[in-house]
Amino acid sequence: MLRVRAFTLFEIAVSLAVLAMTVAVVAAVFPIGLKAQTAARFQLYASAKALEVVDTYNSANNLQVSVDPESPVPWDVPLAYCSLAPDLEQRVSSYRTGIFPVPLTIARRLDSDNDEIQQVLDERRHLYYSQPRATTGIRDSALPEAPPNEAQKLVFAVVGHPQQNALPYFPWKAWPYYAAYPSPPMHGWHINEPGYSLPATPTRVHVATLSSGGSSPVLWEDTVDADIARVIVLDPATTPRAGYVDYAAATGADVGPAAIRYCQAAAWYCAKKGLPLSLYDGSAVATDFDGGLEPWKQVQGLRFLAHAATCLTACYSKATLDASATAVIPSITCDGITSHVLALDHQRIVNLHDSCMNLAMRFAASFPYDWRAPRPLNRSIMMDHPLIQWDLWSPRLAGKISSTSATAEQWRPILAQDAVGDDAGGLGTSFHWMTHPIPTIDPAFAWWRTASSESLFGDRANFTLTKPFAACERARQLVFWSVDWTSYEDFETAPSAPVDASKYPIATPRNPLNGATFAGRMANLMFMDWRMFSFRNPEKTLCFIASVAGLPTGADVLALRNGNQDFMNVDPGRSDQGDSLAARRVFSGLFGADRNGNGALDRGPISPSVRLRAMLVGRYNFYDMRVPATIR
Amino acid sequence: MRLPVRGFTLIELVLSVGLGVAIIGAVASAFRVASGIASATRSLSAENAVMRAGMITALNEADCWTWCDDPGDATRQKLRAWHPTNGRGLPFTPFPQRWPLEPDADPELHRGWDPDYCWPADDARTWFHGNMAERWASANTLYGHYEAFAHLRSRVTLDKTTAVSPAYGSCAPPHTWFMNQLDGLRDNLGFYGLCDYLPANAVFGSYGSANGVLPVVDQGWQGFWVWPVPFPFWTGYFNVGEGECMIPRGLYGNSNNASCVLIPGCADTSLANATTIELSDANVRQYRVGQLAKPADVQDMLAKALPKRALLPLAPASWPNARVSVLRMMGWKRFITSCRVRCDSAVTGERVELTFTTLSTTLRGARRQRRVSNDPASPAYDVDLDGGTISTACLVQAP
Repeated sequence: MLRVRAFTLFEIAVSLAVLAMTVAVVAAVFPIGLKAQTAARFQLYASAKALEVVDTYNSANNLQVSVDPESPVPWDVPLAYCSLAPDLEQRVSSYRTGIFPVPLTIARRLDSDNDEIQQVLDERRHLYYSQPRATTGIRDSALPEAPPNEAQKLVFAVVGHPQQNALPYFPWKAWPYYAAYPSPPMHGWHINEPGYSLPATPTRVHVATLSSGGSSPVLWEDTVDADIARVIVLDPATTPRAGYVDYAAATGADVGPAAIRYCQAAAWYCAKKGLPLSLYDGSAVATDFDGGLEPWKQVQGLRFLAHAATCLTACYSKATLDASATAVIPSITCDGITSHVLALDHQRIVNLHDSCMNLAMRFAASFPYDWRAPRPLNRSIMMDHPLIQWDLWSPRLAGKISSTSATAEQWRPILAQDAVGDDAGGLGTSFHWMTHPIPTIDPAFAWWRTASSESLFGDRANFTLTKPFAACERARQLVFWSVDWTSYEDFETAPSAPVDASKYPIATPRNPLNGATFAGRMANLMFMDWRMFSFRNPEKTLCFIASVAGLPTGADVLALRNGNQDFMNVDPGRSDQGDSLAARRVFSGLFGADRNGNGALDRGPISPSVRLRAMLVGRYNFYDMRVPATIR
Repeated sequence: MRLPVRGFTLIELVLSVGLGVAIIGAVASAFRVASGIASATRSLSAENAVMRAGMITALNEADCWTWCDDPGDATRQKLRAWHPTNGRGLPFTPFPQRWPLEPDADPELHRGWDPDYCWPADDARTWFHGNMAERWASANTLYGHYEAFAHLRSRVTLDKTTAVSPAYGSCAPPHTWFMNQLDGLRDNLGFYGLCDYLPANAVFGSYGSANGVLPVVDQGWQGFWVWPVPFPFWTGYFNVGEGECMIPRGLYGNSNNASCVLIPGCADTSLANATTIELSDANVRQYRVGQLAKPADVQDMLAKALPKRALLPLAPASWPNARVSVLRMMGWKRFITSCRVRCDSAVTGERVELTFTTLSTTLRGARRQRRVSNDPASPAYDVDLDGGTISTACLVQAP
């Protein structure tokens, strides 16, 4: 008899469970391919972004020409601030150069392997995202519409600490000063600043006769060497006066004689400095320094005399200079010094020019720490910039932030070699603070000094900029993760990541009209986008200037962006300037920003209460510079 | 005998059918999901491959410059042309033919381009000997005739008079090399090439005019360098006039708010069919695309300078449509090579774009990778576009 029986219900249930598990496993396998392709896409983006960041870091210019560079105390100017450090994240995190910090409130919601993102944030560093477009320097608001930049779904951090950097400039005196060679003594425009640089001596008043537009040109270079004032006006009590000012102001038939008197003043300076006549009589071209005399004196003497001598060519024809005694420069006596007689024909004038250029170039390349002659604008070179760093180990300078009662501290500077800035062997004064020798003895700025003998400088034993190093010591790493942080509901309404105080370009307190108060200093500088882009909120052009909380999703917010400036100190683009509460809110990005740059208010679908996991995409090593430089 | 067979009970039947439906539903659902995922994966994979290829193409172009000058195809070497009437070349104009080295016992009298000279900073030839404080529009030469120190010509006549200055007369300026290099690079390469070749600390300014086309004027600045005035026969200018200083300036001062852009004249740009003179005009002007740019300024520049090259021109319609662009410009003293890969999905039409800047070969490097002649029998076969001996190790081949 056949014994036939069907499956039991239990058997069928087991079979179905096995089948269901198989289907589930197979279904779970399918997305792996998708994830792999997504990861591949982000690896592509990351490699492109790494290329761009390193390219920008190396090649973007680092000029911040509209910030105040000098002060009697270093914390009153931003030169020593980390916003000017040559580290990658400092150089590239700006509205001109392409990477912005992810809002901290959002970054804190992101998980990653080994919690690396949170560790970066715990170390007070930022997580970054890229600006909507490539960093070409083309005005972004003038670019045509473009599709959303998926690379914004990448976030990245700079891992590894930078080494201590060189200072871009000496905050007391932003050397190098440049001058055209040959040239008269350096003088420049200052707004009237009683007690700071307002013309105070007869010589400076004379320079002020050339004033224009309400500003007064004042002589600075006589703070290096008082005799230099004699090249401007040899003797104010003598008529007609000899010197640069009278030549510059001469008219009519007096122009030629005034040029000769200018040459007399310059020749007198050469004699006063003890230059041998053979160096400056124009008979031969000097190619090296006269060994018995300080080089800076030779450079300055030839600079002034070559300039004065060339002025003769504006007043006399070559034939006249060559054939007659017209261009004989008579001797002149002042302060017991009598200048030599010079006969300056065309060839001698040419020789003087070449001697001036030769010695100026040699001086600039050979003596980077001798600041008694300006660097030639005709040929700027790396050696124009002295090596300076802070001493992190010696006792710090301490004092007050000007215009406030707030205290401040600062490391002491170390120069690679002793710098000399005046003929007395000191550092002299700066152009902006020409009445304040460095280090200042003005009680208003000398809080840091416990004794008049106390040195401004740190211990040179702690100077490391020129020490040998291994490549790995300067290697840092860009780490990229992919995470769709732009899908957060508050993606554009979250406030900017905290902006370092060093990003605010505050003015030096020299101008009494604005420097009397801290608020005045906050408003004194022109906020010029293209001349101080390392300062201000990196998201500045995208930041909202008013609350957008009440606006519907998709609302047009183009007019609410801080934006680019159309022209110098005008809106749009400067709603973040000044000490008002509204300006401070905009500066800090408290209203959020149009982070994908599409001009519309976007809100993603994900609640802020949800945490997202960031997937590691790639790591890229790079070399972090210690000195301000651009490389091509 | 009765077989012990019985049919399904109704409950069994219902259960069986129910289970069957569940199985079919699960499988169908899994199949649908799997199919969707596979399709998305395939699509993403194709897009990734295209984007990757696009990025490689862009980087290759950044390095090799073959869109601007294809070393293996003489029909795609428009930037080697020379316009005789205006005396102007383009970024790939061969120096040996148009601006050959003419040595002289006096180094200041060397003319043409020397490919082996490194412009050392201590060579007085490389310094700027003009008066950096002299305004172009000054009514008189207050500080004297610096033309007597440096000039384009080795003998000059300074015969203009002013209210206070007599005619100076004839003299022989000792420094004529730098200003000839400056004008020569401008005339032979255009603005981008000029900036590419000069050292970063170069000062832009020359006295007189002597390019063989213009009337000879010896006295005063060549206004072209110090103020935004177009040169005769030229439609553009180099100096952007910022600050209204009218004095010679360096690269930063001359690229504030404006950029020197390399206009390739290749396919997929608005100047694809341009004549030599049109291409030359486009390469000797500044483009206002910086801080004060208007959208029309940027559009004009992009149309001329940004090729939108199809990555796969023969691909089936179902493949993603990708275009690659490479833009070269110098603005804010920064040399920028900007790459763009734009990919449109053939199915959804969704557009994905990847833009980035990158380190790349300089124009000078690209010129030294190219032969003047591809004929092995020609003496110019081993000569690069700068007149040096070509290095086969870095020779660019046709793609």
